[in-house]
Amino acid sequence: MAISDVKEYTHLSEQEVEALGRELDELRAEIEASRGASDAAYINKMITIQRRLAAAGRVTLFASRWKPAFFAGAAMLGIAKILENMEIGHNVMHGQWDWMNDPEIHSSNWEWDTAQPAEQWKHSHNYVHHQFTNVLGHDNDIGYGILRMAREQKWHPVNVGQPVYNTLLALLFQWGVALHDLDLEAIRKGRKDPKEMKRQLKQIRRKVSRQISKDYVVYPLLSGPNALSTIKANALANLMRNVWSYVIIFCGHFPDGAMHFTEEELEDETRAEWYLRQMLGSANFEGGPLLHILSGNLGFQIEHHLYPDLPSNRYAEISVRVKDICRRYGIPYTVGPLHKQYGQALRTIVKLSMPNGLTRDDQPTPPSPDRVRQRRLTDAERPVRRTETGTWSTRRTA
Amino acid sequence: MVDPADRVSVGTSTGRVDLSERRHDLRHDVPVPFASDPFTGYGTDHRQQPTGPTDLGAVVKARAIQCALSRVCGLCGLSLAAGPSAATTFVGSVAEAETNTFAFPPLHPACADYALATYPPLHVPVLGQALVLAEWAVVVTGGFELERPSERGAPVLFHPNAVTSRETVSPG
Repeated sequence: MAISDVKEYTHLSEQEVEALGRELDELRAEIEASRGASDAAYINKMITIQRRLAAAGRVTLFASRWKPAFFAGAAMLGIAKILENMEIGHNVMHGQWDWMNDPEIHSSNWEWDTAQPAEQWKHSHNYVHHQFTNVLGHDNDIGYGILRMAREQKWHPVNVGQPVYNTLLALLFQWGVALHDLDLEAIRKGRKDPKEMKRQLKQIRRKVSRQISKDYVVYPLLSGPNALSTIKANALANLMRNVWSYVIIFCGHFPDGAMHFTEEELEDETRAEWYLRQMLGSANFEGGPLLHILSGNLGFQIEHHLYPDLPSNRYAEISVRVKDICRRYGIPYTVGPLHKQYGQALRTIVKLSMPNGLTRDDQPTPPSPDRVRQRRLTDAERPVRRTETGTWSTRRTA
Repeated sequence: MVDPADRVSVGTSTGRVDLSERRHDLRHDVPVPFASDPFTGYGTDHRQQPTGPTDLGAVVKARAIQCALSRVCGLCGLSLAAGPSAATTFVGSVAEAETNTFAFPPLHPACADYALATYPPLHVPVLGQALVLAEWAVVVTGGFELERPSERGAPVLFHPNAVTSRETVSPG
């Protein structure tokens, strides 16, 4: 099956897909042209709030043997870590603020407060996940290598334990993410360059040592007689961040309506087709401004996948236009409240722990277009294709 | 012939260039830039080796997108982490600089220096160019936009968006 065969947009003609792509290009150009001081003020304000919150949390934990200080300090530190990872680190490393030319708030230099080295995140997330979004066999975010998240994935008896693996993944999320870029599948198949693996393991070891010494040695020692309770509070803060990040990330691509693709669907796609794949593979959730800030504006996952390097504070205004474009072109725009989106992801995890024959597919029927359009040609029907030099697809076309 | 040991780390006026991860082109006795090498990067198998010569003027689409999204250098393939500066450098034709549209991915400043000292003297198309250039534009920027191809077979393009300097040089 080719990308042009995906039923959610087979009703669009080639010209309509290109027109949709042009509209999304124009929207991008408008945001680029209007980027400026207010956006810079936003990210600077976020960083200031986050640092003050982290400092307040650490100082409060100097008195962590006193229960109210323990919980207040852990909560402040946990929220600071969430802000740093979601709204600041994740978005800075996408290059959303590189245009400011600030060496500190820059994708090349930012190192975040979690176990995975920034360099590896920029490969596994910015490149592999954003380029191969929801493509089975490529995007390791589909179940993080331990969960079966698509009916197209072959069932194995080990999948019966999914609800347990899922709980462990949520609780230990930063450690799972730390190993993400090693690509266990490539190692298993012998494709991974041993030199590269050694380099990555060294980076992970260094980063993990730094994280552990910060949260479980240096700050606890600074709190003197309260060291043990500070260790516990720091563990609680990390746990808060782990579970929250996990929930937000699982709401982005696994609720009903977010589609999975096969390798062939990537074949030689144009920018407009890439936009379409991002829209169909992502899901949003609704909420107020605070929820969106704490989730790194990933409640606007569709907009984030269309424009991963545009400032996150602009996604809300972009979403109004994207939703309208989807409506006019008859493209699904998957959105719902956070609890509903996560509930659907959780249901998928439980259901897919069983073989397909024992469960029912929950994917919704795509919306009917408001008028009959000329159907696009499939890849097989297109007369001549140029073969890209890239290594995405093993399928050859004439 | 350069001693292979000297190929690993090379000094330039703007810093050191780490080429330890790069394959060597035996025909020209130069390292193959990451962005021009279809046998490296995501999705490749380290056991596969090229059988023919490398086109030093080509930019592999998958590598160009990897450079843009992973923020890695088009020459050495390592992270664009730049220490106290956030600067990255684009090199290309004067026309590319005038239209603010580059075909070759961003480089470390030191890698750009090394690339301009190494490839143009070969007198073959290099670094994303279809022709041999006498003059090269060097643009330093804090950031850039990635332009994905709007047509099948079209190249990936880069637009610097926080330019701090532009100059034209005539290497070797």
